[in-house]
Amino acid sequence: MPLAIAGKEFHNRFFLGTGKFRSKADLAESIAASGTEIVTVALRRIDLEHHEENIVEYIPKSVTLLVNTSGARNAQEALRIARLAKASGYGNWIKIEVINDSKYLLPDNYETIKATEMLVAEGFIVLPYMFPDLYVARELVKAGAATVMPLGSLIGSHQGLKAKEFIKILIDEIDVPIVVDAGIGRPSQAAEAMEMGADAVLANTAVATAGNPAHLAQAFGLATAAGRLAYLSKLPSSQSHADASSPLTGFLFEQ
Amino acid sequence: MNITLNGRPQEINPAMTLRNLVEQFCKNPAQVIVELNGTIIKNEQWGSRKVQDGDTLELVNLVGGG
Repeated sequence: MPLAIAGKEFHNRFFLGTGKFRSKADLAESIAASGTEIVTVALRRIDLEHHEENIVEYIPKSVTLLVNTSGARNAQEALRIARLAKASGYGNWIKIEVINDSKYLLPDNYETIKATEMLVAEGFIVLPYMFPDLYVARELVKAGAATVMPLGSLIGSHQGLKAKEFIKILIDEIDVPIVVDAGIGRPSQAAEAMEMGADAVLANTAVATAGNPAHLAQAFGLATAAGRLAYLSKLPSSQSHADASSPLTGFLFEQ
Repeated sequence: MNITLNGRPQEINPAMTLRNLVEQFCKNPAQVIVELNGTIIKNEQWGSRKVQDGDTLELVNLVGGG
């Protein structure tokens, strides 16, 4: 079954962030290699001295752009960024990211709920990045969030699923898609998130800073799909004792 | 005449329209989003709008991000 977000269907469950790539060619190759259908972008002041290439030209038209509100420190700033993004003609899908702390870059759940309410009221499709807290996730859904995006661990840390047990609770209790965002540094971690029932995974820094970004992007796409398939297979749970996989009868040395 | 352009003081010619300013400062004018004193100005209006002394002008665009 495809992933459905706000009435749109996606067959690939790996989201790719577009920051930090060494070149736009690396980005374009990584998008293609991963098979991603949703990529995130940011909104920034134009650098008046160093003219940058236009990123949108490197993203295929078939890929959905999700503009993040990075840089916003509160709900009001997130709303301003979302409105500017919409004016670009691409920005109806918004990843809310409200961050106050520059050391840990943890999302401000309270302001994120407020921002979700404000943006949904203005007709945006809202995908909020959040710290995995069940009550907050419920409030986000009540406010009209299209997905909930809990962090796996700190942004750019490659620590994987440090918040695993709390993300599991969201997977069990929340009806909108759960997209694990942030801290995913290896394809095995993406697979782990998908195996436990996450609906999608987002990675950026790991791919962008890899020696060969396109190869790692492909590996993330495959691992995400593998994890999904494993989840759908209804994995047997682990146990503390051994359980022989070969028959325990008909041994040659039996008397 | 002085305005604040993307957070920095900038001297500009008062005769310039917003379109002239965007074309002077940006490589890809079609991708630029203009906010003047907190209000978004649509592309169609750039040719007829001028800035005033002391205005705050933001020229923004989409970039890579996670």
